Amino acid sequence: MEILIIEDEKLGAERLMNMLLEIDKSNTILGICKSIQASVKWLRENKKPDLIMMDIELSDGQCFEIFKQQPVEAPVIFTTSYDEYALKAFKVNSIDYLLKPIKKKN
Amino acid sequence: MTAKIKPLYIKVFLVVLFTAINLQVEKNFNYLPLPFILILLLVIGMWSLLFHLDQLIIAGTQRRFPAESDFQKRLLWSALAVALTSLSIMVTTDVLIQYLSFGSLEQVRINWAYQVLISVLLSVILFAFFEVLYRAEINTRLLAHKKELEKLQLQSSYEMLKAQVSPHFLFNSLNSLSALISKNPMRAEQFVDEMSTVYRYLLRSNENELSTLSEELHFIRAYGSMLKTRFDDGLQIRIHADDRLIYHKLPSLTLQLLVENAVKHNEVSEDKPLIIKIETGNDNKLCVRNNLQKKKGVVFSNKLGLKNIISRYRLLGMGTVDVTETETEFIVSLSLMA
Repeated sequence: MEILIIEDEKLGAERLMNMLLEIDKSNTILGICKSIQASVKWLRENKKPDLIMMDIELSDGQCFEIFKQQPVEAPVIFTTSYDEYALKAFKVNSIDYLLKPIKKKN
Repeated sequence: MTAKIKPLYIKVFLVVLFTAINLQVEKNFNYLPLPFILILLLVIGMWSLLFHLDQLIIAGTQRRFPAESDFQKRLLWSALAVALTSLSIMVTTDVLIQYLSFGSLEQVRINWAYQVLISVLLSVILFAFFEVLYRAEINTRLLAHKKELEKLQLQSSYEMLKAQVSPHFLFNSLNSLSALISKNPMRAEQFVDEMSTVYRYLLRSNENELSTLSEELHFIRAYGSMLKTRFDDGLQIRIHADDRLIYHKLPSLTLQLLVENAVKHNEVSEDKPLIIKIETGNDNKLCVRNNLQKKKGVVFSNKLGLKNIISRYRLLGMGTVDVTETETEFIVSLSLMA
């Protein structure tokens, strides 16, 4: 699967990347975007990923802004450290949400 | 509360009871040239009207003087009004019965002493009865109110405790720690130390406490270091404290709130680093400022942080908290207590 990671914390992104590669060696990480701005730009300029792993709190705002600026057709899995945002996430097009710290079995 | 006797059958019972007593007591009814059924109807009518009106009067005084302590006012007005009303109704009925019996008003005799005595007795009994019911109702209402207050207080303590634990901060930190363990074990150990310093301080401080500037800065260094592990060079905390002010006091966790606020509302990234400066100034003042680069969109915030600090300062009589927002900077200036 070709996966895009949207996460502003370097450690978090690295950990997620390692985990995804451990689960399936054929997974490819297409990129890591740290901000709304970077994400929107990436989505405009690149082909649709198979999956997007999206952190809700980004360095310049909340990830929901991305959806306002750019249509997202790929399936999205949200990650967050606390489930306050979970309900709002469901209103946007999503599959599931994972609570941090992310456990491999999830 | 309206002094209603519910249900209806109690009312009926009382009317019947008093009618029976009345007829039993008034033996001279038997000697009147009136059909018994008429007397019966008149007496029943009298008691029904009496109870109905008296009940309305007492309900009225309860509405007019609702406090439990207004007992004397209620007693005075009720007793007077009920006695007078009962007296008039009873006398009128008595006169009516006699008039119908004798055919003229000249032979009508009113035993005033007797009528007044009955009226007063009646008013006392009725008042006592309704007063008891009224008090019971006040008590139930007070109890419910107290329970509601207790519930609110409990909820508020719970929310405060939850806020102290800072779930968001906790889980973010654990996530960072998890990544550090394999990547940089030494840093991970250091991170755990910082985390325990932070949580020890977070959990032991409560709203009423003052801490020295030295304690607050010690905590903020650990807290800041943890945040820097997450944000790298995206976050910079610079501290300049005058040694003479280092043992001055301020409300616990003030600095944590301000730093948390800055991070919550502003963009934190390596291209646009957030710089928070904590500096002491003249006049025992502490200044916390950061460059303004607000996050887009809605920030989940209940806005309590700054308000909390301002109200605590006010409660402690420590003067005002000055909050200034320019185009480029956000500045909070607070006093330190000697």
